[in-house]
Amino acid sequence: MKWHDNVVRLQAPVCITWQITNKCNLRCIHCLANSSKRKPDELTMEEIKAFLDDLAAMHVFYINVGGGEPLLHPNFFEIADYAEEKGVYIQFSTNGTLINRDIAKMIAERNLRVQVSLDGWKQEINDHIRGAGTFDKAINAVQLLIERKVVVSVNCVVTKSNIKDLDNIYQLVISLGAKLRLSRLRPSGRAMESTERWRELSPDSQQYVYLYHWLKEHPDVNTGDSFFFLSALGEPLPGLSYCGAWDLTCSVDPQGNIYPCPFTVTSNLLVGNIRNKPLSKWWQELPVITQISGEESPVCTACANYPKCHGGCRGASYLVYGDWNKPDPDCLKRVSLDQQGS
Amino acid sequence: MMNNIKLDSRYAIPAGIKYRYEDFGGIVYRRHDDKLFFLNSRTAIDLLDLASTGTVQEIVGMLGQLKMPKEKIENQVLKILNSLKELGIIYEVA
Repeated sequence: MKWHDNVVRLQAPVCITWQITNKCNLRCIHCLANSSKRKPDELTMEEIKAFLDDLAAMHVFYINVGGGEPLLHPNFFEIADYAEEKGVYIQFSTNGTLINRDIAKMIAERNLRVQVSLDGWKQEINDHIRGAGTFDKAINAVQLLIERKVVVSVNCVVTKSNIKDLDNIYQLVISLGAKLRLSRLRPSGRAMESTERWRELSPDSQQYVYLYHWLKEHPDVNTGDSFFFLSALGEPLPGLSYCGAWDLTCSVDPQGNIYPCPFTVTSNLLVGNIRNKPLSKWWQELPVITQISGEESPVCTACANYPKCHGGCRGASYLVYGDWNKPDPDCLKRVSLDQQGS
Repeated sequence: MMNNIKLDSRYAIPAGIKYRYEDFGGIVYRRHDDKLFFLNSRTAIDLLDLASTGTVQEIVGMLGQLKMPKEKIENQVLKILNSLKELGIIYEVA
C-alpha cells in the first residue's frame, strides 16, 4: 500500500503556511525555520500580490503566516489588507515582542487572528528556549491583544522541559483570556542540528503517553492535528488522522520556494518556486511528489493501529531517517504493546 | 428542538463560512472554530451557492433549471439543508 492512497487530494490547498520573512529578532533553540536575518531575495510586493491573487483564485481558505517574525516584514499590514481584499483569511504567528498598543490596534482593526508563542508557564522555562525577557513580552502582547478583543491563541511547542507543566500553562493561558495551542517539536530547523539534539529536546515515550491522555481531557486545546501519531495509543484524537502534506496543504518560504509542509524545508523535497510558475500550476501538475509517494512501511501497514495514525508524520520520518515512508520516529506502538504486556 | 427547514423556508450562510467544489462534492471551512467539513455531495455546494436567493421551493426550481429533476430532488434538498443547518453551515432566515 502506498501511504498516499489513504489521502483525499484536494483541487487546491485548504490553507498555506507562508514564511513571510526569514528575519527574526529572536534565536529560539528549536526554531523550525532556523530564522535569523532577512534573505536578500525574499519575494517583492509585486510577487506577493501575484501569489495572493493566485491563492484567492484557487479558493484557498486561509494563510498561516509565519517567519521569521512576520511583524518585521516592512509591508506586513499592507499584505494583510490585500489578502483581506481578495477574500483570503490571514492568521499569523508572532513571538509577541514587537506588539505594543499601536500594533495591537492595527491587528484588531484588521480582525487578524494571532498566535503568540510561549514555551513555558514561567519565565525560566520559556526564556531558556526563546531568550531572555521573552516571557514578559509575550504575556504583555497577549494582554494587549485580548484588551482589543483579538482572537488570540498561545502556542506552546511541547518539549521535554515543559511537558510536565501543561496544567500550569493551560491555566495561565485561560486566565489571560486566550486559547492554548500545543505543537509538536518537529525534527527541523535549529531543533535538528542533529538527531541527538532533537531527541534531547523532544518528550520521551512516557511523556507522550501522558500528553495523549492530557489532550483527551482537554478537548478545548487546539493541536493543529500535530499529534495524530498519538492516536495509536487508543481512541483517536480529534482532527485529521493522516499527513496532509501536498494533499490538503503546503508551505511557501520567503523566497517563494514550495515545500509539502513547513517542516520539510529541504532541497530534496522542493516542489518548485512560485517565481517560475504559480502555486496553482504546481499543485495541478504535480499531484504526487515522487519522493513521498513510495510504499508505506510494512511495519506500519501490519500494525493494528495503522488506521488511526497512518504512520504518523511523514516529514518527521523523512527528516530523521531520510525516508518518507518509514514509521514516525516517535511511533508509540512499542509503548502501547508494552503496556498491554505483549 | 431545532425546527426543520421546509419548502417555504429561506436560508442564508453565516459570516465566516467559505466553501468550494471538489471532485467528491465539496469542502466547507468555518472560520470561528477553524472547522473543515468534507461534504460528499455537489448538490450541497450548489445549495450553498444558491443561499439567500429565494425560498427552498424556488431554489429547487433553480436546481431544476440545472437539469436536475425536481421531483427527485425535493426531499433530498430538504435533507441536505437540514444537515447543513445542524452543522451550523447555514441558518434559517426568519
